[in-house]
Amino acid sequence: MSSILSLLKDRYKRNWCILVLIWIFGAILFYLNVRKIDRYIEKRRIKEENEYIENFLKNHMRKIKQIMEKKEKLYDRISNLNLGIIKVEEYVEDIAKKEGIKVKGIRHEKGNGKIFFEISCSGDVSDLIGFIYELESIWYFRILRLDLDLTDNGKYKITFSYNYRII
Amino acid sequence: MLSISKRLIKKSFVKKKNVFCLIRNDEVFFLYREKGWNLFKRIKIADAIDSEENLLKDLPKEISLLVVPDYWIGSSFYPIRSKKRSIVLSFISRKLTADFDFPEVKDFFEYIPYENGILVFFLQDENFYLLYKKLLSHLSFYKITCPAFLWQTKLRRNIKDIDKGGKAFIHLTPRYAYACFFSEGSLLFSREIDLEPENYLEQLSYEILQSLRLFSQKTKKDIEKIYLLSSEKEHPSLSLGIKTEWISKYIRSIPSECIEDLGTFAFMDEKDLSDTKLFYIPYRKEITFKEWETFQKIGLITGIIFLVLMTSEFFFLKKNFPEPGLVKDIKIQSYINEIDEFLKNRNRESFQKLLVNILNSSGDIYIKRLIIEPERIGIGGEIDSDVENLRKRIKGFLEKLSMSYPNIILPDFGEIKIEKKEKGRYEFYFELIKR
Repeated sequence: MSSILSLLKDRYKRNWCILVLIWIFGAILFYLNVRKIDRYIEKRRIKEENEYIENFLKNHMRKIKQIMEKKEKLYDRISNLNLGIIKVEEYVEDIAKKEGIKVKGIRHEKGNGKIFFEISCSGDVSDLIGFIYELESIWYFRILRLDLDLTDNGKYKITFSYNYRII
Repeated sequence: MLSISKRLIKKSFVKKKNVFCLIRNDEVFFLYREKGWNLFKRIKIADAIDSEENLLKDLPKEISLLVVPDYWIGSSFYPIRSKKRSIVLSFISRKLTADFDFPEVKDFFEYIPYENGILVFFLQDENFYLLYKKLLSHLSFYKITCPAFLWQTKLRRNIKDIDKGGKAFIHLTPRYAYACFFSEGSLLFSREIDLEPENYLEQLSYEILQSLRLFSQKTKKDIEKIYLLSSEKEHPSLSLGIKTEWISKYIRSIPSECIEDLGTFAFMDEKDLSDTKLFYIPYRKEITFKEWETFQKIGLITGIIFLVLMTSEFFFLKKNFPEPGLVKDIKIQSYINEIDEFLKNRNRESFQKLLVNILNSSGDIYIKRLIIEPERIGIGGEIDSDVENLRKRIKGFLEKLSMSYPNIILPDFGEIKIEKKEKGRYEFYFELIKR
């Protein structure tokens, strides 16, 4: 405290103190002003962007909703996972029977939000093409791998995923 | 209220005038000139040193000239040969700080070349430094001199041969005599002799003779001439056995308005006080201050302008650009992700079409094995051909595939695994990688 008082009593040092203080206050205000302008510009930009997005969503909401509805077809809405598995196995057997494909076995493996199925079957290639077509026509099935042995009566392994949502 | 306005008037008035500070007989006089000397304030040195009250409040901030008693200024001779001012100043500063108890002495000295060295004048009296700490350090002053230097300058202006040989000057007033003794233009010593009217001349003669003896002892020379000046119209008759000259015709010796106790300083006028040849001891700290003063002023002015602008801008922004408030976080990204996922699935390649195309492209090549994955296709089969046409046949098959699927990388023929099954029949296997 005494050193500050003695500093203030010295006219030369006091002038320097005043000078430095004025510039420090000026610099602080400059910084605050720049920050305020930056924040204002940034928030205004976000606001404008949001307005644009809002307008875009408003104008295209019908189409977006349609896409969302279609997108929902990518998932089978089921109430029980085991029921879903049974449903897939029955469906596969049905279309195999319809297309003339002999199903030898169906294996499944649970993944995250999907189940991987591997069908072992045999039959004519032209029937296999029909079987794959039927399988692909269902949106929530996604074929991942075809391993086809076309010799003799044919031995095929079809791996696909089954996407579901528990409701 | 009246006292405040009076003080303000006094302050503004004094601001325009040059204020001189005289220290004499244990008192500090603040004076200004207006038709003679006028007293602004007088303070006892003892009061200034001991008093706790704020003596500064009624004092002017700027002092044009500080006049201290002659004996407060001491002198020392140093045989230094350097002519470089910065070296000499540094030497004196070190020397004085070492020789005196007051560290501030380094701020109060001046030197002149003298014979084979320098003669340094400095403030030697303890009272000066006590007064400096309490009072003078808060005032702005630059020049410090004493009555002897003032008289020397005044005499030089009027008497040509004052700087040659040993000379003395005696100023006679009814109550005292003020005497200065010069050797080759340098002040050697000065005296103020109080005189009683009853035995004025006897006392004066005795004291002057004593001083002449002292001069002879110091310089090994005698005084050549004594210049006399009297404040009275009638000159007293002095017989000192030395050539004397009354200089009343050159120098006016009547104080324009004498304030009691100002002593010989009362005989100084504006010309004497503002003479550029006046020898003074500068306040060295003030030199630094003066050097930086312009910079400080510019810095202060620009700083204040900058501060005002920034403050105005600050309030302008506050008033005209309010915070836009909370910005809603619209989750468009979730829509984009959903649409992307949808498009990715919608545009997925049909395995059924791929299978059909591969089989159609094979022609008479017998496809035995097919592995189709999203990133690669493995094809194995048998081909009936001679060795020469084998390459051509497989190449033809690959070209057909590349036409159906331009985004696949075809294998080099060298990379294709070929095995002979029997003569004219070959097995092959290759992989197509998607770009």
